[in-house]
Amino acid sequence: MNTVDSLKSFWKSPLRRNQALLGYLFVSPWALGFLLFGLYPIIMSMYYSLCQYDVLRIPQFIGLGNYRELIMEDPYFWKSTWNTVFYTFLRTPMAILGSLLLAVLVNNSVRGIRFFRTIYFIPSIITGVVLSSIWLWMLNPQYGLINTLLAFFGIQGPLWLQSPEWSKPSIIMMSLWSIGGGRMLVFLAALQGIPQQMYEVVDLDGGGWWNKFRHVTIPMVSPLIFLWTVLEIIFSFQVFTEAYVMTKGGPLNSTMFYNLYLYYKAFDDFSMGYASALAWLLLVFILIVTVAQFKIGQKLVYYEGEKL
Amino acid sequence: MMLKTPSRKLLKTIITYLFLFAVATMLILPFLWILSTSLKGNESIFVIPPKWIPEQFHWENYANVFEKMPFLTYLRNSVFISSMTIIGTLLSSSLVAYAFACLKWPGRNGVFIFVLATMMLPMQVTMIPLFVLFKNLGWLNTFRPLIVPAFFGGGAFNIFLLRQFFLTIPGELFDAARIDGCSEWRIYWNIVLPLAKPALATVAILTFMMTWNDFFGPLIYLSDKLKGTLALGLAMFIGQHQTEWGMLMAASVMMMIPMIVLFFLFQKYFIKGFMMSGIKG
Amino acid sequence: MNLIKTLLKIIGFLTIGLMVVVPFLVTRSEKPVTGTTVIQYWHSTGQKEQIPYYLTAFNSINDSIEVKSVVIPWQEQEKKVLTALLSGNPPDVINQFSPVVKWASRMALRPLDDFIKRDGLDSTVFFPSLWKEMRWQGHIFAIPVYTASYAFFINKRLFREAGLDPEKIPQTWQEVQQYSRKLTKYDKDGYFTQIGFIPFYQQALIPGQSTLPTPIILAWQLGAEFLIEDGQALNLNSPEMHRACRWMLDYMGDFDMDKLSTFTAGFGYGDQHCFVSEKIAMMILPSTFPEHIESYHPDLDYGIGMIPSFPGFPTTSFSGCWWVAIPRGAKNPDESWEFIKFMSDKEIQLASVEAMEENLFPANQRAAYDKRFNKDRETNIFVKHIELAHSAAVVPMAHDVFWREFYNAIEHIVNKIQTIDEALNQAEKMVNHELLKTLEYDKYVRSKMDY
Repeated sequence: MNTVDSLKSFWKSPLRRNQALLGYLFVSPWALGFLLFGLYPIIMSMYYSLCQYDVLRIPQFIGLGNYRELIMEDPYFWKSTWNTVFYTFLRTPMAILGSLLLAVLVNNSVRGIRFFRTIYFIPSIITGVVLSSIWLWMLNPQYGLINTLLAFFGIQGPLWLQSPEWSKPSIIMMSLWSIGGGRMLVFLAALQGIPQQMYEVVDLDGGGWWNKFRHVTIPMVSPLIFLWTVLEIIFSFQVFTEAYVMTKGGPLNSTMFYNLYLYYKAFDDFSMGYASALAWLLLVFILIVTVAQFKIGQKLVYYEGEKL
Repeated sequence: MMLKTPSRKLLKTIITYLFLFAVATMLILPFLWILSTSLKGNESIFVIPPKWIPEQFHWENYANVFEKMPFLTYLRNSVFISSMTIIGTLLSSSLVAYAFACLKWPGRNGVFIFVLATMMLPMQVTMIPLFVLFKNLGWLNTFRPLIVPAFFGGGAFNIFLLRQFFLTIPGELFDAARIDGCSEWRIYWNIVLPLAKPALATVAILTFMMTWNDFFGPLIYLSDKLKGTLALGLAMFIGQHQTEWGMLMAASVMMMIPMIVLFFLFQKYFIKGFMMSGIKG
Repeated sequence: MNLIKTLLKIIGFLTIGLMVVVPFLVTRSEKPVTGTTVIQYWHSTGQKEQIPYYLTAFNSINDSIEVKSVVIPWQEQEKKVLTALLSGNPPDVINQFSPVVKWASRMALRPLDDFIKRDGLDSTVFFPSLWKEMRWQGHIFAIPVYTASYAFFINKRLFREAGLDPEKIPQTWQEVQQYSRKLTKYDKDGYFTQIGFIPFYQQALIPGQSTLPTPIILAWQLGAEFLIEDGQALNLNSPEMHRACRWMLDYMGDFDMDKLSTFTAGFGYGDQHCFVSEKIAMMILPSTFPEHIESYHPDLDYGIGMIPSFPGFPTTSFSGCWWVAIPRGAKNPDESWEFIKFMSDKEIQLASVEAMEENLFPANQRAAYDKRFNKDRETNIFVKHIELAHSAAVVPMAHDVFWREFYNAIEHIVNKIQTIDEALNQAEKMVNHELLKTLEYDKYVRSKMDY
């Protein structure tokens, strides 16, 4: 059936029509918000990406000049893309696995569990300069906590943030301290929703801990795992603050992330047009990756409710 | 092997506690350092080997914070902005998520991807036109740019989150309710929302976190000194040549306490077994 | 039990509600005194006391103008000013550290020539090196108020230990190299425990602060001209810059780069700063440093001298200053000007610098040379450096790109990842490319917009 026919048959059924109208109604707050607050900035940024523009004065239309220059002539574009991709694909699996395991750990009703969950939550609310200064101190190669602990085991720790090879892993490590935050919370909420009966069924079948995890926990939590995979990738591609505050893109441009470069172009160099072009390329890239994930997700994610 | 003898249960508990403690020790370190630094004077902050327990307890760091910035005013503003934003977000994002998860309508999937796409454009480039937009609306130097957008969908992140949660609710529930003649609104309000309490609590906590720590929004939209937020106030301790580390950490601690307390209290929505699958309901 | 719970809940809600609502009711809005013009002054200095001395002084003298102090966070202050300019309602006077050129070249500031001429402001009272930075395309856009300076610091104790005369501060880079060989010590594994001098290494006082690029000082001393073709292009791979880099590499030949990186990576802040913790014997440091030493290591035995140079070449320093200006679109330019004029007065500058306690130097050189300020040899050395300084705005229209590429090039040269030619040429190419784009754009805008 082609789209028009299926649409026509769709509208014929009053029940479905009713639901559809309600669907539009329920979605309207977002739609309205988008028209009011989203549309203008997005269209303008698209326009700026086709211009030279220094924010303080008027834009000069230059067509696809920014894009061409980005792709053909800018070494930072490629370097920052590589840095960002490396960061994203190294970090995402670790973050999600870590939060999930942590959620399983705290999905317990032992005494004082509330206390532990709160402790795990705390690192995720430390931000900004405070966070960066703590980590600059902790990652100091000579007297920082991390290297002191490693020395205890006889390992000589690397130069962390000052080493081109270890700078990205340092930042990844830093971000992993927040696995007890929102992510863990979401997984915890999902784990709460798994009916006890399901585990009991596995028990009756003679299965152990691993079977429960693999055949009950993972599928039931899979919508949220999917959520976080998609979200982590979207957010990781936009990594910015740590590099901005602590390393400024160094050493040797090893932490020059895409969004950091974009920021420098936008606000230091006042090249908002160029920065907008960078932004739109990023959007396209993330979009492609996300849609790919949805296609894969259709096969792997289990929804007890509606299927996608 | 199926029965849990008392000693097996004990072993399990011990192992659990072992893991819990081990992880807790690692994760709490940054916070302990903040606490420790908040009680130090400038002279001992960078000392090697690092001192965890300060020689002298500089309690006055905490008192000085109130002198250096209008803490209570900023607290009030932060509370106001955060609570309004939470209300707006909970209401609107749950509505919109319901549309994506529980209702069928043409174009639903495409629009959803579109919603997600709005998260993919770095805010650095939309910030300026958005600022100009708010200026034209006359909303500069008010709390409105920080609060109003929350009532219009609450952000793609929250919509996505709630959508995923709503999708875990079994379809039979909806079918049964609809056959019974329930309106969608009633299903939303009386069935879905109560079942999603942990999810809603999560959204509330996350929203609170984001608005509480938000430095950038208040920076560019608020000009009056008395309209500032706590996050903005923290920035006052950082100067070009000098940073008041002790006070900065003390202020941070005080800023984190409401969030910690809130999180601790909201735990009651996360009690195991609280949310049943709903088939019985 | 339920009753108590409900009661507690209600009390909880009421408390929060009251906490939110009541302050709204009791906040008094400030009513301006009629007859006076209130102008807004945005700044981030004077953090030790939020309302600067000169502001209070001005308000007490002036009945018809009242200046309101608005302290903006040091972080992201440029963004705040940027959005203020866009809002159409900018502050009346701004105080900034970033180069004037960044704003002036983008038509963000109101030219001050008419005021200067009308009131006969004598621009010779300011340090010429600072005054130069206020100018753009023939107009003056700002007035310098405060500045910081640099000098060459040595650790007298380490000198004595190495058998060097602590009162003889090296005057040439060759001497620095000689002394450094005596001042560099290793442990049994060959790792550094102490080093004499590192030409390209600078360390900020606090995390995130920008650092001084020593290599450019070397190039300036040798007479390098960076901006050529009437400001249209950058010449980075000049013979002078090349020579400076070669000298640096030669100097670094004495050291193992890996071990050096390990050594420098271990430096921290506060009393872990490399000079404070006596790990480096000689260093170029800012004028805010003595106070830093006072708070972290008061017994440090150090001396200050002029920055060394190459034999036969004059020394120089690096300048940047705090300036005040009137944003374009500010509503009360005349009143703003009165305040600005006041701030630049010699007596006011002396008193303010005294009161602010931030180790800032007055931009008014009469004030800087006045005996009340220039009390000791140390201060005098710093002041002399201000006179000799070159501006940090080496490539005005591509300032940030230049510095990013410059640091990048030095990093690559020193780590032997690129040769001097490769690194300098690459940086030059990138900066010129950006410069060209910016100049073209500027031409376009000026043809369409009238200032």
